[in-house]
Amino acid sequence: MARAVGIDLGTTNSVVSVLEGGEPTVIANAEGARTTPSVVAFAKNGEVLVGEVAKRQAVTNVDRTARSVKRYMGDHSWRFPRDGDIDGKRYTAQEISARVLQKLKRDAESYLGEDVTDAVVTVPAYFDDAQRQATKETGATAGEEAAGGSSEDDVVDAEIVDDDKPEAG
Amino acid sequence: MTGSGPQNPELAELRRLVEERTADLQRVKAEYDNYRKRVRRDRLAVREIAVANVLRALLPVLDAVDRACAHEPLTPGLEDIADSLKEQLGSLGVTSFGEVGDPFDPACHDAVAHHTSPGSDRLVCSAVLRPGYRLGENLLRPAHVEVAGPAPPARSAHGGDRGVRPSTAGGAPPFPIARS
Repeated sequence: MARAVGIDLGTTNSVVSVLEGGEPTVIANAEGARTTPSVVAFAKNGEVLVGEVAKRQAVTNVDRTARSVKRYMGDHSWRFPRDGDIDGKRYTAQEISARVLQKLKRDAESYLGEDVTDAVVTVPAYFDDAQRQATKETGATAGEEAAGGSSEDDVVDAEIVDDDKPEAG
Repeated sequence: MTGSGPQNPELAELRRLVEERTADLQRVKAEYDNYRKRVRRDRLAVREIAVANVLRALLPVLDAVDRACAHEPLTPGLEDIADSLKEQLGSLGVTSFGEVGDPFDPACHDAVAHHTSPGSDRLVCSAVLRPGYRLGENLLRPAHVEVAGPAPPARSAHGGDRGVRPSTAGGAPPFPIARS
């Protein structure tokens, strides 16, 4: 049975929640916290670190740690890193954010004990079309990579809703 | 068969309703089954989480005792407090970690500073500012550490914005290609 989750993809932190008996419940991540830092790091050994772990090693790996990527959502010229590359690759804001979504998806799946194929992702009300589209692409990328393929059925179907609260940095 | 004309749409409508309701029922039942399983699992976890939360809130007390032991003359009273605190926490399964020289692992260490030390090939903790704590296997709090090791892996110069390309002779080892 496919479940839908709600994801607040934030600039600094992200949250995933699910409806349980009509009540929204925040899902704690694998580390036991209710919020996951929106930080992605590319470790030297090729490993991709997401969340708290990525944040903890940030000072040792400044050039390969991406944070506050949401600010560049929909900016087609932006790449991480800004100059140079990471092991021959330069990432879009969507690709970086997709790593965060994937972690939230994995944590939600281990909590729910079932697959998550649909997500509602929030965007600030002031996001324009390009930024909304980019957020939607992030959802699709996260679904594809988590499924290890690109079958249409596996793609996380992201709905975009306005996030009416003012952005808290 | 004049009566079947108006009856058929009604039948179809009823069939559709039954199918819809059955699907609803199956969905709610599956959801409820999973919910029940989760509640049973969580009931066991809640006890551990409650203990962990209380202990986490008390960690600043341990820090204060550690600081007092390190910087103030060790009076018998202070020693008694420190010893019994350690003993009681140990019996609950709390262990501390974080030693100078430990290999840096972001899973349990929070790096607050990074020093480069030429000649080293991996990141190690060069100072422990605050020990970390575990409750059984679970991390209560990561250790705050200063880290020393090779210079952070520089990005290969691309477009020349930064200009300086790290020399391969003395620089970091080549990196494997990241999985995309």
